Amino acid sequence: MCESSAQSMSKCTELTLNRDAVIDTDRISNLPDSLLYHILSFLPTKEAVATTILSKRWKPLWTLVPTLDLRDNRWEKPKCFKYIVYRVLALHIAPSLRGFRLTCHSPCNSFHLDTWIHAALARNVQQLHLEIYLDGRPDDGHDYKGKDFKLPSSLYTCKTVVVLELRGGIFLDPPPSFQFPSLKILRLSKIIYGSMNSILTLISGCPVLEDLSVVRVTTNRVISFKIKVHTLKRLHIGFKSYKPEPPDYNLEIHTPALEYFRFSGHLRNIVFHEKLAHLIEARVNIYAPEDWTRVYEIYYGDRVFKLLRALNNAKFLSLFPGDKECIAFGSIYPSMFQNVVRLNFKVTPSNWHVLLALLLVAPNLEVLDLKKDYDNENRLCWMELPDAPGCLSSRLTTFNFDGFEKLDHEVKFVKYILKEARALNTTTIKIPAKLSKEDVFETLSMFPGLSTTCLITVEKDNSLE
Amino acid sequence: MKFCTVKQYFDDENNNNVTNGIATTVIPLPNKHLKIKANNKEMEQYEQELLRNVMPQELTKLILAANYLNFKEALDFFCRTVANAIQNKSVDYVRKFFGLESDFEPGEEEKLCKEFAWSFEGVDED
Repeated sequence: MCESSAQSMSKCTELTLNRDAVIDTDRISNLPDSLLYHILSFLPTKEAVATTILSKRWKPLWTLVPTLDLRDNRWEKPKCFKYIVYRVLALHIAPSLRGFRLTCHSPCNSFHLDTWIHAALARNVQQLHLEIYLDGRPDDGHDYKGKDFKLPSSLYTCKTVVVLELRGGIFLDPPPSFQFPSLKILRLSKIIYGSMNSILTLISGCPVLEDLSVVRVTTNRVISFKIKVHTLKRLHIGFKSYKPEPPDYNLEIHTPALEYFRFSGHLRNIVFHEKLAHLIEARVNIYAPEDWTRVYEIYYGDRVFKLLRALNNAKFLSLFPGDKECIAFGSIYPSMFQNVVRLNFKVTPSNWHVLLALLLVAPNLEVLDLKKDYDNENRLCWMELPDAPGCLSSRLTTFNFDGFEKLDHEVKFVKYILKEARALNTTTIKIPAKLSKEDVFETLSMFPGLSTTCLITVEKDNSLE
Repeated sequence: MKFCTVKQYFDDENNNNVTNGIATTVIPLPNKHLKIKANNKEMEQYEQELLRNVMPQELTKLILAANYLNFKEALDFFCRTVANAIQNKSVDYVRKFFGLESDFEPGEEEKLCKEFAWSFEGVDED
């Protein structure tokens, strides 16, 4: 509740108030109203409203902040939240909304949500973020199985929305001839679609779409959909599943202007229909529960390489091709990664060969950043390093290895890099707390052919245990 | 690209809005931003480090400078930092932070406290 003065200063992680400093009245209160609104626009509405009590000048400021961020906390009574939202909407008088965020984790009737969304649409909202669970949000890790919230039809005729984010138990079923003429950024996370064509209908109505993120929780049936957007620059696809059976999907992508691509989750069929000539960055993070890979592992490796082949124009590549998924695989990279300048790779004992194959086809690589996925099994790893010289990029200048545990294959690899990379000038090895820096350093400095111009640093990673 | 107003500043000699000290903080920001744009975690760390060296009073000037230079990312960044600094803090803490004093009539403040009681819940211990 509203407490009166306390004497000690509270902890402030970012900025500290010097207790002895003279209180300078010529401070942030010096800023014009417009900049104070801007500061308040970064706060959840609950906090912005609390500033009403600071002083006479501050009393009405929150009512003119051009954003509303309404979140219910699960521990608050749901009735309280509805009352608060209606009061805020009645008192808040900013004529247009830059942003409207509604996060509803407690059970709520859909007509309240309709009303609140209408209020936002009426104020020409530009950024709309909705996270709704009509029957209450399930505990972490579980699928939402309650009723889905059907978006009000007035939303599909909104001309002002530039950013739209939908998460949770929301049912998306756009009418066939709708348009979002201003929409640039669209984020859909784990929502329900009316039909297989819903996504295509939605994005066909977005003539200026630049950034699309679709994360799906897979279902029992096969999912087939297309993403065809010639203006798209950024794409993130994610397939997650909590079910015991592996999902199946077919995804066709037509995005010739793509600059940034990110994939996370379980990999099935993804086909790029146009060459990604403008691709700058690609991040691929593949993971799947063990049961699935046991059944499908014969095809998994091929799928990984097929996806990577489509991304071979990237300058920055970040890759975790999975752990057990890569044990059996078909062909190595048949295409060159001419433009790759920076490679981030997450290694496990099962995917070193993927890394090595990639290094052979990346002749312009400048920075190699390895991170080990900690594996307590300490599996044996068979690694075949190239015998011939000149297989490694002659431009490699920086090499980082996070998670070096002095295992045999790791030592072999580091030795190989330190010897073959002629242009190498910085190497940073991060070791777990249990190893000694001096010991590791000694091992490294005994490698033959060590360049005298390369700076080697050994650091301890104290963040684990 | 973002600096059409910077040239104007250097041409305008009587400009008191942006002191040299502030310019050295604000101007290198875009390059760093571009480099670590992809990685949000690194960005947070960078922001925290940068602001550990900046006194709260300076923030006012930084905000004004970023606003004058029309540098949206820097303006958002500094404003967000102020917002983070006052989030979940008690009324007295925020008053001290902003250098404000209550100028309400007696009883007016209590009335507001009751009316918006829900917004004062869940505050950090001072």
